[in-house]
Amino acid sequence: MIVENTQTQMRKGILEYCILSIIAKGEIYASDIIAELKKAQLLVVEGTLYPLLTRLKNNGLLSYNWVESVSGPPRKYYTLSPEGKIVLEMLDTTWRELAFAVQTSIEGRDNPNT
Amino acid sequence: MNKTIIININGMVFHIEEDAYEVLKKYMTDVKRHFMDSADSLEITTDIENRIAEMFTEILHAESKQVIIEQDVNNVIDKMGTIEDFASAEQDAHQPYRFQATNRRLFRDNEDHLLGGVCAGIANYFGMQPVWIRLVFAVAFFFFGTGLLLYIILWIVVPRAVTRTDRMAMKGEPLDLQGFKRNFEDELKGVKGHAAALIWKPNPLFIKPAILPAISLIICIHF
Repeated sequence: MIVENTQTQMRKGILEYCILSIIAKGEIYASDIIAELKKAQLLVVEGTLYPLLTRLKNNGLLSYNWVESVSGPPRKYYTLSPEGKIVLEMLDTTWRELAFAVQTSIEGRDNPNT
Repeated sequence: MNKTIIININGMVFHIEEDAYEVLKKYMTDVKRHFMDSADSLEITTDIENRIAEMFTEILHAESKQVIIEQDVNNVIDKMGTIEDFASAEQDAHQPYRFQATNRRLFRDNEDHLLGGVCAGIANYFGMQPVWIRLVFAVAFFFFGTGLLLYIILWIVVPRAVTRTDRMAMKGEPLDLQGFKRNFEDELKGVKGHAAALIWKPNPLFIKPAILPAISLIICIHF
């Protein structure tokens, strides 16, 4: 149970960072974000993404445009807001620090991440 | 040959087979219930509905057919994820929601009552044994009938727990699938217990007719 909890916490921590990074590459549709996340093996089902996107949007990190679609209802295309860009830069720094911390900590262990 | 239903998902019209419709309807009800406590529930469920509509359109187009069948709905649900997936993904973000869900509501308990179930309802609200509340009312009764007056007012004002949802809100059980299941199982046990009790113990219902004249008598004395 403790292991599972830690794993969930670790994943969750980077999930928002990854979503913001994916959106930072350019205007993107929710199901394309999912495709990227699936490729990164972070998230598998679409439904879990919508609450996250809504929360990020309500926190002012994202904005969206309605775009007409031929294959269904209009789609929401997400972009980073200026505030989102600032947050992402801060997260970049944090991630580098974390990566350094982990790298330093696991150095010299028998077979770390082989 | 199968019967189809015409449904409208946020302005998009689909023909869907009856079995498939039942599966979809159950799924959407579960999804809505899951996000019920979230402030953005409408926006999230609309996003999900829109995406389902889009996936349906893609399926119909890809297979050049006109009707959604059960297998299509199951495929869409697989892609979208079940309520359990949502719950595990939001484990920590979900904490405040769970706290909200345990907020109790005041109802009259019509399953554990002597009169109108007011005392049992209040006891449920505070998580106490009904006997203590009844005692308080009984004692208050001797102060110029305050207890009785209060009881009658509460009897009129407080709604009776009619549905399962009411009963669960009354006992502060979480309104999710697990909560419903647990509640149902408890009820089943309760029914078995009641059936056994009926054989040797008079139901409180039978006492009621005797209590009412007694009360009216007491009112006459007091006023």
